[in-house]
Amino acid sequence: MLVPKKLKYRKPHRGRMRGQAKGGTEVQFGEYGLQALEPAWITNRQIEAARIAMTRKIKRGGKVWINIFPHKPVTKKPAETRMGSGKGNPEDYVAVVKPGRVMFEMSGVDEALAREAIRLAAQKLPIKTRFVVRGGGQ
Amino acid sequence: MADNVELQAERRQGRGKNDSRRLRASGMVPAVLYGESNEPGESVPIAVPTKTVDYTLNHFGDNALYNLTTANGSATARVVDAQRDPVSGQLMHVDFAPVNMRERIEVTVPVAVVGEAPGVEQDGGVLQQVAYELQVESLPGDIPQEIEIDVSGLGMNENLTLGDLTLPSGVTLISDPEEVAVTITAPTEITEEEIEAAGIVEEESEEAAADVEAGEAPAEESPEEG
Repeated sequence: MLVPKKLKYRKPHRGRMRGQAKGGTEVQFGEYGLQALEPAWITNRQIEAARIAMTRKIKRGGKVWINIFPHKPVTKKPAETRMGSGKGNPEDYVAVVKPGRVMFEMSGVDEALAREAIRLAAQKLPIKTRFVVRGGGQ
Repeated sequence: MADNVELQAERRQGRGKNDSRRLRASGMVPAVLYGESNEPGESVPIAVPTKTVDYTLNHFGDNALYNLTTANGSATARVVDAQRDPVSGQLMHVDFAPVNMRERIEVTVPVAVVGEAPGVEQDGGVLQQVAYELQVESLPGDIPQEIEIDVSGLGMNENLTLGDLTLPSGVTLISDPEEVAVTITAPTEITEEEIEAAGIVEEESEEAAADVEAGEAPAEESPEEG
């Protein structure tokens, strides 16, 4: 799973996810992509599940790119713990995704197979997404 | 290249996001026409019909030429930058640069793959297009809409470089001729451990159940998936 090699801060603030993605809004490497339509934290488990789902569908053929990386640690307090006593421990790593961001890309397969593989990947993610084609098509 | 697109441009008086928003709602898109490169003049803020520009960009590419007619006269120009909303895809702003029809310019042209590669058909390789566009120099009237690259004859682990492309007359390549344009590589495969580690097992059982319902053996795979 994707994990940062080192962290500048172990427990960063949660931050806000206002507005739309500033970059990475077009298909850059492959021919097809999966674009986010809502803001969300995407965990490294979700990224891995989506990757495996689409790679498994296209089997022998195609190439997959992951354009997001879970840079942000998220803390959690242990179960059945009383409030207080400071912030919890880092449990997950997430990628901050805003609407418009192309999260996954694919090439080397025909469009029908790419659509199906990307649909399976989208099912692993907690947000609304859409299939995009290089050059801005849908 | 098709004929120049006629565009009736209006000089833009209002500034800022509110005026721009009203302009977009009225079917126009805010734009700017740069000053002449050899005689540096001031850029002119203009507004052009969204429908025409959007259609031209989608059907004739980024290198189409426009005859911009304004109150002060007309100019031949091309789009150098087009901003779109990342979610809705709506055109937000367009930059036009005037062109001198007798002066060669550097432009980016898309590359289109044609033909069936034996490396894919016979050896089961994956055709990977590495270069989707390339830099060329040409007169504005000679800019090709796209440059085709023929992959018939390309085997497994072979590649074609930008130098292998046949360019139309009057067009010279600016990009590195050694840069790989198309390659055929072995497909990537994932291991069973990776599948299990990612928790895909449940989905496999769903698919297997669907296969059983359809009267097929679970292990059997349809040819389209291969």
